[in-house]
Amino acid sequence: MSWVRSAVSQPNDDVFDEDADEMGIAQKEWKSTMEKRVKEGYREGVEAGKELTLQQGFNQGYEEAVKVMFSCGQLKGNVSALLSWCHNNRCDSAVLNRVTDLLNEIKKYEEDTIKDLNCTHPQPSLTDLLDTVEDMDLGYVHSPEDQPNGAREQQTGENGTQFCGPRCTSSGTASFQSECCQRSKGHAASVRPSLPWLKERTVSLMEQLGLSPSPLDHI
Amino acid sequence: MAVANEPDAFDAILMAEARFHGEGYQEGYVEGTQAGVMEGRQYGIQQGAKIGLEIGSYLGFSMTWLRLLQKNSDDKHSKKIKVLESLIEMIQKFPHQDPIYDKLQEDLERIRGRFKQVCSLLHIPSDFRLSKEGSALSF
Repeated sequence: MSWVRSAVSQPNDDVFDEDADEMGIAQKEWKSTMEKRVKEGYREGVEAGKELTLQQGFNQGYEEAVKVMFSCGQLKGNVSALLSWCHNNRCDSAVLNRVTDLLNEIKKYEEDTIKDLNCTHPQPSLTDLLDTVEDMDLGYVHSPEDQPNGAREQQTGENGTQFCGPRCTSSGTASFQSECCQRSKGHAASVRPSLPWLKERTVSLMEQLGLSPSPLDHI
Repeated sequence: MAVANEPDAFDAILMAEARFHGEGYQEGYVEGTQAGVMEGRQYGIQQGAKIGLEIGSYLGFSMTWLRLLQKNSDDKHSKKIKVLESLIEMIQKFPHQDPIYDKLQEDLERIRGRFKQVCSLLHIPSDFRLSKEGSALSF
């Protein structure tokens, strides 16, 4: 806002002006009034902007999460049914333990998947990443073959969304991000069971209980 | 002369105020649209995850039980099978992927009610239904 400063300082050209003090006060008043206008405008702008995109963001997040968690829920419901069936039919304890273990792993997978969903961002671009690095003012100079740190950690999820690696270096727009970023750093992807693997185990359990696995085909 | 100049000065002030206001508005608007996407998204993820998980669980549960009962086909199961099939149909008709479905809560309550009915018909104790642990996402 350099034009403000120049506009405000213009009347003060004459250093021998007897009204200088008075002018100074007037200038301060003027400046604070205009600052108020800027802030007012800013607040109104933020509100208007948010109103425009809140629903859009909600829809985006909802659609993404509902699909992923629906599959997860189906598997959980599936194995829960087996467990209750085993209880009702007094299956032997070895089978019961296998079903219980699998259900616990599915619940763990469910928790991890929800955390991952909260970590995802709408496709951060390389420009965003470079901006972030520049904002940090580390004096880091990048060359085309030298990727910023974040990009190397980046993982791509099943549905093509990117997990939190890239933004781990950012100042964080909300606290949940730093929490999930810490988690993913100490968490190798291989430790976690994948959905196909859990599905495979469910199918083999169902076969053991004399069921054809066809209800799983659609998950 | 001074009096004649006054309206101009006044106009200039008003214009400056409008200009500053507009400048702030522009900046706020850009940040607001970005913040709106982020905030909306977070809330959408929570809601979508909750609905997806709940509805998916009911479907997986009822389809597996249906299979189990059909395998041991027995006339005494016919009532159970009928109720299970009706629950499955309700779930399949429910547009869980639609983030702005206006009867979401209404339909969800009906599905929950039918699910409870299924559980009691199958003699599944209420503390055993789908989730034994009291995590935030259990139901």
